[in-house]
Amino acid sequence: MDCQKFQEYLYLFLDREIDENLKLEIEKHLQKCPVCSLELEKERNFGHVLKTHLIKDKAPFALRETVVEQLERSKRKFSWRHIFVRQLAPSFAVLVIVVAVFLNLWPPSRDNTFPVFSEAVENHLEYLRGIYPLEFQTDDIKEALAWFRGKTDFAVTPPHINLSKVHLVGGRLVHLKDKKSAYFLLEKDGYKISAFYTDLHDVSQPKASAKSGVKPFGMRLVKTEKGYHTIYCFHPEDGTACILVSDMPLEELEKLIV
Amino acid sequence: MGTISMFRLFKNEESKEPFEENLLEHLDSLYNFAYRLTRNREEAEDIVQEASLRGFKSYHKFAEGTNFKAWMFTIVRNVFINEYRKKSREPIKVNYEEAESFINLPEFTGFEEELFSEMLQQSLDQLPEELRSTLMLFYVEELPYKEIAEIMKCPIGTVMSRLFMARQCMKKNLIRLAKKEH
Repeated sequence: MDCQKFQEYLYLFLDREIDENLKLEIEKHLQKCPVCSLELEKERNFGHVLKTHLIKDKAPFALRETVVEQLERSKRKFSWRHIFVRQLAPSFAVLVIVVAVFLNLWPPSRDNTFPVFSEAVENHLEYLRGIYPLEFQTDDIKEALAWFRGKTDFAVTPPHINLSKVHLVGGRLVHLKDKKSAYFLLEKDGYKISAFYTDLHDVSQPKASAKSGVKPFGMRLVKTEKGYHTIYCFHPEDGTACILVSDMPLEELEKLIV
Repeated sequence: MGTISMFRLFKNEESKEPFEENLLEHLDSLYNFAYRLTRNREEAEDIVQEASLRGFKSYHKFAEGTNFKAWMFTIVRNVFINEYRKKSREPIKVNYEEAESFINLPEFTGFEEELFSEMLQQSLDQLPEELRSTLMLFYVEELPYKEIAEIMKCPIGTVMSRLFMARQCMKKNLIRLAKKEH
């Protein structure tokens, strides 16, 4: 170890950050070099001066109090948030996902998943408003059936209504439950009757329920909305359904059904 | 979070010293450090309050067995840097090269004790933040290089060079102040 090397390690030695081997070498050098010893002494004194004269201010009492209060408040707040975020939130998220999946997969019990009643009424109203013009006009059922031939995926048969007691006006193709359906417009004593004839074999069938307002009507189902009665008649043998919509009194309408 | 990790979390936190106890034990040091950083007592108090809250919220990240004081110093310095540094009256950067020429100095004798302390504080306040913090952490808090490096987020070599510069600057400032007094 020489004086130049000592200068290099002076502070490491002074600050007790030097490794043992170098420390021994420095100590040996200091024993025989008064210049470096003096230099070390001077630096040591300076360090001592800094240590003793750099005032360590005490934290004001008010700060101590504020910090304690603040921590107490945070503890109360934090403990709830902590419990929720760390413990409950993941479980809550899983629960939400499970419920969401469950609701999506569970067979719906609500009738509005089969809104054939509402849809039929809407179609009936749209005809009345002139939105759907008739595509053919005839009072001859044979002509009407001939018009539908080839236009639907199923064989259109006369609507289940006593055609001798009503007047056939005409008809057109409509979509009911996204299926191409035959639409007949009939009249009786100034009342307009819409008759939809369609194939609903692959659609879940509506059921009578108080919640949906669908009531049993003999072998059929009926629902009244917006002042219009909708009678639903399903034929399980061929999967076709006939839906009648009218504001005619229900008893009179019933008499017309065959 | 599974039951086991939940258990671990609670166990971990229960086995540590309560945060509040640790904090109050070192509050003077934290305040002193904050004050040296800002040179403003109100701001120092605000920094300590903010750092206390941040420390409390992230206490779960504090590794048991490590130096709590050093950990809190890091938070105090982060708060200072992020929120106060811009508005603090940062001194004009010291010319290190100039300071390096002041290696051989006369001995410090003949000052009155009180006056000397005051001058020393003034000299400290004139140092750039990195040098001031390093010097404080070493001489006042008596922390080893390694912990200072962690607090200052710099290599140990940088701590050594900053400490060297800080010492030279302090000497230089003291001489200048002493000359003014006489």
